[in-house]
Amino acid sequence: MTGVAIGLGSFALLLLRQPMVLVLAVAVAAIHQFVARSSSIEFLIQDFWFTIDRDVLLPIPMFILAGNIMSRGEIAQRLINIMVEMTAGIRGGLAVATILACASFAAISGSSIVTLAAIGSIMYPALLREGYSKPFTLGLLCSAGTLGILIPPSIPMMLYGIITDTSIVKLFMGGIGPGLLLTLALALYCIKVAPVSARGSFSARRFAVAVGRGGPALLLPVILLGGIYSGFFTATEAAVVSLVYALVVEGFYYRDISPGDLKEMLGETVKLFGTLLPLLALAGSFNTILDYEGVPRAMVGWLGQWIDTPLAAGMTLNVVLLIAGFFMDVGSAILILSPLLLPLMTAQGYDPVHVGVITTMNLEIGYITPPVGLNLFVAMGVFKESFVTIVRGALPMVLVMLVPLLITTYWPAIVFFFVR
Amino acid sequence: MQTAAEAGNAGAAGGILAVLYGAITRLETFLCFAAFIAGTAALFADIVGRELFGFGIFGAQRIAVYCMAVAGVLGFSYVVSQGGHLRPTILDKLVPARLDPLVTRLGDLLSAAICLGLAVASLLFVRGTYEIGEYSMTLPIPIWTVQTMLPAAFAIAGLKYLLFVLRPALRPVQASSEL
Repeated sequence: MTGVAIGLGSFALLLLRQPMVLVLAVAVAAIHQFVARSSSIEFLIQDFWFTIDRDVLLPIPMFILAGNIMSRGEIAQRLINIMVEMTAGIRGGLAVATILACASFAAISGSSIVTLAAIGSIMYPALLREGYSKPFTLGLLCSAGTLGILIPPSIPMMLYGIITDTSIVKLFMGGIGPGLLLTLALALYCIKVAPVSARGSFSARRFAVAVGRGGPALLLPVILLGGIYSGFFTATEAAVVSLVYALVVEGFYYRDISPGDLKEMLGETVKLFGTLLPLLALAGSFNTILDYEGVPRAMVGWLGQWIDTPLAAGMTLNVVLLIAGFFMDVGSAILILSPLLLPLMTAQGYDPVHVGVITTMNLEIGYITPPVGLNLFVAMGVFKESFVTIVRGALPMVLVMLVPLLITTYWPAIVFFFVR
Repeated sequence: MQTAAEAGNAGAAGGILAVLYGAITRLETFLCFAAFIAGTAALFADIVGRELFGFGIFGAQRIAVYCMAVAGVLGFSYVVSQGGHLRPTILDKLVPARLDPLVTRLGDLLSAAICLGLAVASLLFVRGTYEIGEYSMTLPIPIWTVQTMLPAAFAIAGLKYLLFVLRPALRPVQASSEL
């Protein structure tokens, strides 16, 4: 009965146009007050404080700021130049270059929309000039932009790591294999269906010049991933190195950002962090109360009657998260659903790191599925195109992205290849 | 019909609300940015010290955590001014368009009530910490001094929503913000 009241209350709040964070606050407060044993609203604030008072949160704002700096500066353009030269002579080369540029930019930014906006704003006019259709180009950019949250660093993976107490470094390493697989799948699809034949031919000299000019941009993913993989950096150290490197390269080497730009970037960073942190803290409180009440254990016991094989568990996880991706933003979906789904998966022998990577891949697809696929809306804003045109281009890409998702779900070796 | 004098009074009252809103926004922006920069600097100095000179700065990581907590929680209120909080729009069409201004205003009133409720709950929590005299594990400071930002941020956000109810022109355009 109380559950129905909370559900109806949340519906009424949404009808009155309340932000997600306030809907969640009221729902979790009601659970503390009326559902949980020996609890009250004050415990909500206590849990809120315990969630934000943790060292593990530190990389999030650092990576957000580093991503903002890199998306405004020259780094994206330099990476694109390298990829364009590398793919010259290949059928659909510019489309493949776009995917590779997104993949390499993803390795320094933890955000999908930053990757889409940074690479897309440069490549969109270039791809249209080359003869690619609008829907194809938009679908390509939206889907390749999602690599931003799969290839490490990844802000959603950090959220998953914090809310489920899973190693963020292992999650980052686990994302590399599936990220490369998805990059390959998208590239092969482009080569197969690209309406444009090969452009020019590969020139080792031009490629070397592009690499020379873009060296500092190319070096950052190497430093970051190498540092994390070798164990030299923790996630926090990697985030600080990324931020300082981005500042030095953009500010002093490429001389592309001014103090005024920095203020604006800081504002964008605080805005995103101020959106995420309260959501994370409220979800943390929700998670605590679920755990205290034994909900995950009860749910595993109940669902275990039907979901009693790894195959069924993997399929359930994918279906639930794909549906969630249609309607929820990535952060909320991870924070609310992961603590509930993880016990179900570990009961069937899945590793939390594996589940984290699968979760990210599913919600990555949610970025390009209507009605609330965020990359679709970002593309509307950045490229000034209609929602229908963008969706028409994105839907074939969803089918392409499902293949690496299934491979990753049932072939864990691809996740654990880089995990030490 | 509104007389010229009444219109003048309304304009002056609106002006005062706008000045108040501007002052609140500027102060919280300054505090957010300062906390963010201080946290980043502490963390950077600690890492440089550890990696290059073999010794870190005592308590730097904790300072960074507190600074980022301040930046993030005050950031909650900062985002209110930016219209950036995630808001599911799926039910918007259930309300007729002609009622939009009314629903928005009612929504702001409700948001103000929720935020002020959270501010009161936070205040009770901080009072509890103050009364037991809890200190930071690493730094020689009472925890309640940092926790005070919780009721402050919720109260400021609540106040802003109230100002939107009183003067809808202050309300920012909704913008999306995501991962």
